[in-house]
This record gives sequence, structure tokens and C-alpha cells, in this order.
Amino acid sequence: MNAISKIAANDLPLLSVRQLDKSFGARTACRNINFDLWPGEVLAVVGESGAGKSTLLRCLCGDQQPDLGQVLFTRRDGSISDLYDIPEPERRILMRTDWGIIHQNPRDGLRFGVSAGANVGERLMAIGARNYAEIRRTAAIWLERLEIDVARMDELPFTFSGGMQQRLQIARNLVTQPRLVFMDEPTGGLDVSVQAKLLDLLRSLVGELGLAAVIVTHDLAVARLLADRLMVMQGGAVVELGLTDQVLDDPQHPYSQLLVSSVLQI
Amino acid sequence: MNTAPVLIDVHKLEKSFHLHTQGDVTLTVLRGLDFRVTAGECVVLSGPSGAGKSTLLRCLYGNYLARSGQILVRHDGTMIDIATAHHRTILDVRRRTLGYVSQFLRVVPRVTTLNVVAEPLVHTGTPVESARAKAAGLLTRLGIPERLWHVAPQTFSGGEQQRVNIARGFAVDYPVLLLDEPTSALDPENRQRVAGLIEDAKNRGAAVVGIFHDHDFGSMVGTRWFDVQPIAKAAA
Ligand SMILES: Nc1ncnc2c1ncn2[C@@H]1O[C@H](COP(=O)(O)OP(=O)(O)OP(=O)(O)O)[C@@H](O)[C@H]1O
Ligand SMILES: Nc1ncnc2c1ncn2[C@@H]1O[C@H](COP(=O)(O)OP(=O)(O)OP(=O)(O)O)[C@@H](O)[C@H]1O
Ligand SMILES: [Mg+2]
Ligand SMILES: [Mg+2]
Repeated sequence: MNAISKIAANDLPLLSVRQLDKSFGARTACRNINFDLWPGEVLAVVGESGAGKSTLLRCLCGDQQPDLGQVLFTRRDGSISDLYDIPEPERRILMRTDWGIIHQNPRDGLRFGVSAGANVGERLMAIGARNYAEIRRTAAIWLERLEIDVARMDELPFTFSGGMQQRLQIARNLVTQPRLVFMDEPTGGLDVSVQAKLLDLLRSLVGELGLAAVIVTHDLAVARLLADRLMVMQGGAVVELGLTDQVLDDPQHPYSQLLVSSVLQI
Repeated sequence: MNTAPVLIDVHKLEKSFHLHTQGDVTLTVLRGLDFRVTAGECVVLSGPSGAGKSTLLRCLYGNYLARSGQILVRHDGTMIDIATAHHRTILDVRRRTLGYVSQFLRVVPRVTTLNVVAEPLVHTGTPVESARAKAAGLLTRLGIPERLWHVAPQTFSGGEQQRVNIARGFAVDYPVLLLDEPTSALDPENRQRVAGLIEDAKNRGAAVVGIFHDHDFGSMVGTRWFDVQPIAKAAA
């Protein structure tokens, strides 16, 4: 038995996307997208503005029903379902527990009316945690892990800097120990030193927790640092998908070559 | 007669670059290349600048895509074809079998030198503490003073960064090691230290393929030369 069949027998993809299409009126945002994502794997999605990256991410995470195609996911017990075939409440639970969604703008991912601690604790309560002291303790652990001063746990998120808000959003998502995390430009809008800190944290968390992730980014250096594989999108279609270093160092498609040659050094 | 196991077996490798954004030129760099390396050998690639030495190493690592041919690498006792293997297989081969050391350290912001070196070992499942102990041993052997271990190597000198890079590349006892001018910025004393590491790798049965600017260094560590010559350029 060769290594490929060994792998295939031992674990299933966490997510399988088949012939996914999504249009807005006459405008095609995603066209015939196919790929698999395995446990622990980080996939970066790059491409020009309007290429369909955010739309794809929304279709993958349960926020936006595609027009055609399937988003198949494997549950912890090994059973496989189509994300848009399961009842809405089940999909909501999945999105709140097994998956994490980190938005570019913390306003879309945090509740600004409640404290930082409550933002983190809320996700635990959503999966049935009721012991207040326990919830608070777990929330504190995650704030600390994301390098947020626990003394500021009871402050409202608007008193935090952009980088802190982004880290709070990540803590809120990771507290339920998801297996898969979706991120849309998680470092966009932050200045470079803050970005570096966030990236370093993401990198070690992904490694330690064995998280799978789909990360939309316009920054090829971010992709190089975080991702096992790189997907290049243009005009709603995937034009190249391969090992990150291969796509960056030996791009095959004309658009990938253009993208890579447009930046100074990655 | 060499009876050591074959760890790298390349058949009829062809590599070309199709440059879409530069006038649609096709540049063929390697054609019909056969190449075989057994355990305990250190094969030194020679040939003029631009001949395709680095390209060959990168194809072996799966960093460049082969156009055709086979790139077999022994992994867990099976020959895996890097040219066609599933991406997860290639990542596993890189994790446990194939080491690759280039000329430059790719620094990750905020990661300390000790962790930069220990990281590949941790990824093979070695406990963090023993990985760090091995990393410390390598850094000592390569003359990186202990006061530098707990800072990120971003601000280090070229030679220091290169030694950190070598330590990282030798952290795992890879069965196959690919070295692309890893010693270009090192003084004679430090080159000697690297020669010692390569010697140890050969002695434990690793197959090493290296490109070294310095001919004397190549003669010292190499068991054989392999010449890479430019092929006639094919037009588009
Ligand atoms: N809700 C919507 N209604 C109408 N058109 C939409 C909607 N969402 C996206 N689109 C269109 O779909 C296309 C893809 O948009 P998408 O936001 O996915 O691009 P993107 O790759 O994320 O771009 P950017 O890098 O600028 O964020 C665009 O042409 C966009 O105008
Ligand atoms: N990613 C790439 N895209 C396009 N062309 C490339 C790429 N990598 C290498 N080449 C071309 O392939 C040829 C061989 O390059 P390579 O770097 O393998 O040479 P080399 O023998 O290692 O030379 P040197 O001794 O100068 O390092 C060169 O003409 C180079 O321009
Ligand atoms: Mg977008
Ligand atoms: Mg070279």
C-alpha cells in the first residue's frame, strides 16, 4: 500500500467543495469551485479585488447559500452532510461550536454592547455552559492566550485598540475549540507591527491546536507564513491551487505569475 | 559495487518555465535528466551559473513542478514520486524525510532563534523540551553564542543568520538533505563546522545533494560530482 492510499484510508477531508457557483444577478462571484480541506490544513485564498474570495468564504461558512454545488463537511463522528441540506438550527450550532468565523472588521464579529469577557463567555454559554465561575475562568485563559490583559476583561470592546479587538474576536472563536476557522483578511487595517504580532499568534495557535483554516488575504507574505496551500482566484474561478511555496516560486497560470511578479519579495 | 539503498532516483526529468507575462517565452532548463543518490553519499552539483543546479534541487523538494519525468524519493521504505504525489504526501515527505537548506534564512517575526531551530523537530512530534535541547546543541556547535538564542534572528548578521538556517535544516535527522549554497556567507572556521555536520549526516546514512560555491569545500564533503550543463534553449 502506498502513502497516498494510507492517508486516504486514515482520514477524511473536513470540507469538500464540489462545483460551487454563486451569482448576484448577472454578476458571477464564484464559478465551479472544487477543493478539499483536511484536518489541520491551512489554505490561503488570494486574488484581485472582486475575484470572489469573500463570497466563497461566506458560502463555505454557512452564511451564504450557493446557487449550485455542494459544501460537504465531516462531523466529529465521521458522518458527512451538505452544509445547506441540514436544518437551519443545526447549521447555526455548527457555526457556533465546531467552526469559527473571524471577520475583517471586528464590528461584524464582536458584540460591542457587552464586556470582553462576556464576548468570549457567550460562545461557551451557547453550547450549554452554565457555571458562571467556570465560564469566567475559561474566558480569562483565552484572553491571556491572545495576550489580552485579563485585568481588562470587564471593559467594553470599543475601549480596545484595533489589534486587541481582532485578538478578542479570535479568543471568542477559539474558546469552543473549533476544528475549522474562516478568516477574511484578519490582519487587514492593522499596522505592520500589530499585524506581525497577530500573525505570530495565529501561526502558533494553528500549530498547537491542529486547526484547519481558510484565510482570505491580499498579502502573499501572510500566505507564505501561515498556509500549507495557496488558492489563486480570478473572476470567480480558481486558476491555481498548490503548495504555497510552489505557487509562489513557480506559478503556472498567467494571473498567478502576474500576482507574484507584482510584489517585491515574498 | 555500491549496495547502499537508493534514496533519490530521478528519471527523465524535464523542467521548463512558461513565462506568460514576459512575452510567452518557454525556457527549458532540465531535459532527460537521470540522477540517483544512495545512502551515505554526498553528491555535489557542478556546472555554470544558470545551468539549473538550484532548479534540480527545487524540483526534488516539490518546490518547482516537473514538466515530465519521475522524482522518486524513499519515504518510510516506499519510493514516492514527488512529481505526482498528493500534496499531503509531499508535506509528510518534507516533514520527515526531505530537508532543504537554502542560502537565506526566512525569518518569522517574533520567533526566537532557539524555537526557529527547534520547530522542524517539534513538527515531527518530538517533545518541545528535547527539540530545544537538540537545537541548543546545534547552535553551540555552529558557534552561535547563547545570548542570541532567546531573541529573533531578524537582526543577526548574514553569517549568523546562515548558521541559524543550517542549524534549523539539520535539526531533524532527515534521510535526504538538499543544500543550496548553505555556506556562502561563512568564514573558514564556520565552514569547517558545517563540513562536520555533513560528515555526520553521511555517516548516519543520509543521502546529501549539495551546491557549494567553494570548490574546495565541495571536494572536502563530496563523495562524487554531478555535472549540470545548460541545455540548448528551446524557443516558444
Ligand atoms: N451581496 C452582494 N450583492 C451583489 N453583488 C455582490 C454581493 N457580494 C459580492 N458581490 C459581487 O461579487 C463579486 C465578488 O465579490 P467578493 O466580495 O467576493 O470579492 P473579493 O474577492 O472578496 O474582493 P475584495 O478583495 O475586494 O474583498 C464582486 O463583483 C461583487 O461586487
Ligand atoms: N522560478 C523561475 N521562473 C523562471 N525562470 C527560472 C526560475 N527559476 C530558475 N529559472 C531559470 O532557470 C535557469 C536555471 O536557474 P538556476 O537557479 O537553477 O541556476 P543555477 O545553476 O542554480 O545557477 P547559479 O549557480 O547562478 O545559482 C535560469 O535561466 C533561471 O533564470
Ligand atoms: Mg473580500
Ligand atoms: Mg543556484
